[in-house]
Amino acid sequence: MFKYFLLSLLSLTLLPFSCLGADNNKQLIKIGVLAHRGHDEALQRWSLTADYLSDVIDGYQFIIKPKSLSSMKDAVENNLIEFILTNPGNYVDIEANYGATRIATLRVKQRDHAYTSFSAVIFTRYDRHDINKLEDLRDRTFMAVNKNAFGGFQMAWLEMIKVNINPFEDLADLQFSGFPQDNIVYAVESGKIDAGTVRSDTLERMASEGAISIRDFKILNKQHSDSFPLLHSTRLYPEWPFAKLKKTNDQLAQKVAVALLTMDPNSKAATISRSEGWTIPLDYTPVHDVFKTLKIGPYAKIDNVTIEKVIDQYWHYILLVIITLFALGGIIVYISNTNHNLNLTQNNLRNEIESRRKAQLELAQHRDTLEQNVIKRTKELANLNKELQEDIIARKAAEASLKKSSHTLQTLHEITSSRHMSFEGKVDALLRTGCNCFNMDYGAFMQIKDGELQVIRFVGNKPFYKRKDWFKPDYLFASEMKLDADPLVVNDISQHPVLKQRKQFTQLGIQSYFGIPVVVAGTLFGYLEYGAVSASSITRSLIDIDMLQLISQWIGGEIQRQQSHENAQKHQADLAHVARLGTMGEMASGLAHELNQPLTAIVNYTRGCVRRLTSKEADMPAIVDAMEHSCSEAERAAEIIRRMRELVNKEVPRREFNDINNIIEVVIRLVQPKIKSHHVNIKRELDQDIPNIYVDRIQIEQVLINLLNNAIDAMKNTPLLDREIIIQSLVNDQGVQVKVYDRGNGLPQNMKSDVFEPFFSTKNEGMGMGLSISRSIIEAHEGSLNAEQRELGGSIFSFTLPLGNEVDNDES
Amino acid sequence: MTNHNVYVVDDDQAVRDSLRWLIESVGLNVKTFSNGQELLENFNEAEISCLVLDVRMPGISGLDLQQRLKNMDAKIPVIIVTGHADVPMAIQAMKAGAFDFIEKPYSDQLLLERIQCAIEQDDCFKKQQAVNNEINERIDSLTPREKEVMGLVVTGHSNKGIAKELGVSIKTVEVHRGNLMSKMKAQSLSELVRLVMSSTHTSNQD
Repeated sequence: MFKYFLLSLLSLTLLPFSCLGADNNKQLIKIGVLAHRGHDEALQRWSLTADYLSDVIDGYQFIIKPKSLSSMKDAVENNLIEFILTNPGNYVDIEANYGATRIATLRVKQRDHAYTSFSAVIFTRYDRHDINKLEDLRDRTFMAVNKNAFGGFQMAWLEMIKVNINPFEDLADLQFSGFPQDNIVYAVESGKIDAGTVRSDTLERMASEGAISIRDFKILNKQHSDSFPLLHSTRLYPEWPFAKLKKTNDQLAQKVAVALLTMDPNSKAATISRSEGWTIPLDYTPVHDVFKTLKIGPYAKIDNVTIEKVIDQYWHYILLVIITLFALGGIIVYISNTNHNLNLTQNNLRNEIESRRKAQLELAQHRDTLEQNVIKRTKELANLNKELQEDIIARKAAEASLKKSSHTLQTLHEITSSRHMSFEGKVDALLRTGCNCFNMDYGAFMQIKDGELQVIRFVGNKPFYKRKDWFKPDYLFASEMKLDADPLVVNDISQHPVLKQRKQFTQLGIQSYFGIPVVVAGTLFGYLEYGAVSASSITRSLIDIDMLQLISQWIGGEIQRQQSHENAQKHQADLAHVARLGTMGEMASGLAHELNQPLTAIVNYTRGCVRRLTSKEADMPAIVDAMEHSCSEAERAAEIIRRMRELVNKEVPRREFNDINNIIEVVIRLVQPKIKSHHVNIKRELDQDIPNIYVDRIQIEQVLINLLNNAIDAMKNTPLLDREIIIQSLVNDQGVQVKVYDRGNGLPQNMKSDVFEPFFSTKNEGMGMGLSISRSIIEAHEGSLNAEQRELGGSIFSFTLPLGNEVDNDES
Repeated sequence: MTNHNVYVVDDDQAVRDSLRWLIESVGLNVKTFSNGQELLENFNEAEISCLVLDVRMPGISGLDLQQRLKNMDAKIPVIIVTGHADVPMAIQAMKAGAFDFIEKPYSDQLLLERIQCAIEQDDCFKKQQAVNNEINERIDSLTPREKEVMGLVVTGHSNKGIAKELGVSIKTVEVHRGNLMSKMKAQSLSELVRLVMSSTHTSNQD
């Protein structure tokens, strides 16, 4: 906007002075020609064309002004020339910036052909086997004519951009030779430069002049076109245009166009310009497109350049305009000030009158509002008084129910935190408390099992249910109660659409109902419910509902705690089982030997019998005796297998009362093969008056096997005669203790506690899990496993299991 | 087949008793011991024809026991029985001169056959030993002069040469020679040589 403003301002103040020629007969018309192959060559090439125009068009003298790319711009900018004859790139630049119009396109002659289009050749030496396509140009040296040369660089630039090569960043070196382009061809031919680009006819021309041989070059990205047989690497662009500049007279331009189009293709002027004259102007938008893509030329930074240049050129006019504006501004300010003061005085007067009128009006309004406020306030006070009285009543009620709930909560707390009651006892107490608190006749805790309800605990005045009663699923009121729902309160079952259909209720005469789901670990476990034979008239208070929820949550939480405890025990048992499998694997060869003994005996007995019977020396009582022995050996083998299977079997941990001495004997039997093969003497010191302990037999056997195995292994380096294990059982304050003494290496120093860590091992074989699992087993039995150094050398491993280690199982 | 004693050492009573039952079925006498120490305490080489040892026993193992017997110069054939044989164990047993090495559970046929063979070998050995003992007794009955004469006779000296060697008359040599021939119960010179040779052979072997 600013630009146009300035321009129009300038055109108002200044009348353009035309630069009419000096010659009165003939007006001098200058044609700016791009001298891409040097000043002289341009003159030589185009002078005859200028002469031709001078001849054909009356009253004008045409002359050629050879220009470089930059001097061409200067000449256009300063209106030093009327026409331009230049390459398409330069043309579109001038067209966009200075408003040139092409009037003809050159028909370039090349070996008896005329071309109105041209292209660029990108080439390298024929023997550069490392450069075969445009992509290979990356990190090579490259030469072009000029950064601004259209055919001599920009066409090639666009092709490189298409294969993601930015010639200014991705090439090893980008050099510009300047015109003539022949230098580029020589540089590539000599190998000084890896590759280069020139206008499309350059190579053919130089070859025809004998300067080069085309076979010495390799064309990259070679394009093919029937209408354009010259070597080229890019799309085709229109040839050089002949264009008029903006200020050039249109009629003159028209005459020039006609003259050019009618030029004889075989005329000298045409020949020397290496053309067949001119043709109608072609479409130069492909050239624009190149510039747009490359963001160069007219599409680089149009506005800035123009403004700067305009300001630069016409600064004195701008200064004059600014001074004039300032003077005008000063006068306007003075007049408006005077005017403003007058207005101000008038306004003040008017305002004063207005505000006095307003004040009177407001005074009247205030009086009215005051009266209304007094009436409203009185009314509010009356209401407040009423609310206060209601509040006092409500508070008294709340206090009473608070007292009640506090009392009930106290009771609940006493029950749930009791140390003397079992879980079942606590549930019963809670049910009883609920009956009192909710004014109900019975309370029941039911569990859903296989889609049926089982009454687990029941408390009531009358035998409504028996414990372990089972209910058909039709009793389930899942549809009535969702998991996270509030308690179901039914004050009159006969009025309830679903519950009144439950025959249990009608049969038992239950009239009111108060129940809630019991949720364990997010799933429905069962129900907690209270019922009464009379319909209840009072609505359930929030406190009742809270209370019921509290009881249900406590029961659910307690069951979940028990379940997770059971899960932990099961996990420990699984671990123990895996370890047992490992132990059995290690003991397998020993046990095979142990089985071999009875099998050998059986074979011996029966074969002996067979021999006697066949030799007819049969001493019948002796044979019967031998058969008896054989049988008992078979039983012995079976017993060994049974023991092995017990250890390997994965059984649910099952605690029973067991005789620890019996466990010790069984274990010694199992470990016997190893004891024998290691020549270990085993000594029993067993207290025969030990009460039975409540343990999982298999697991305790496992611990003992582990301790005996360790004791034997520890004595590998002990002299044969000293190899002795003492196994001791006794009763002390803590319970029943079993001690295993060995004469082995003893405990590793400072590692007493480490021996119980998983994967701790002093042996070469084995997992090092034995003691860790043994300890977990003993601790699961509320006992302790200890290791100590023996004074004589060797170590003592002992475990203690509490007496009366019995689950609180008051009723069953 | 009678009067042959087979000794069985096994710590497992059932195996021990059943072995007795089996071996007795072929008419052999069996004595059983529960450990090596017990056997050593009751050891009488002449009485035993074959020894059956279990390898794996508390205290003295079967192989140890075999070694001890060898050190005592006992020449009874030993059959080693094991429930879990391995190559090093077998090599050790055979090196120590075991008669055989049998793995449990074995066929009764095999065990009894091996026991029979062992007994035969023992019989043979014992007979040979009896003969040697007899010859040694005869040699012991000779006077020093007679032994001297016998030594020269078996090395091929004539009566005349012996008389000259010992500085006595030929007649005296003839008397000594007649006495020693009858004491050695030798019918001919060649028989005398054989008796002396076998005696020398056994003494060399020791």
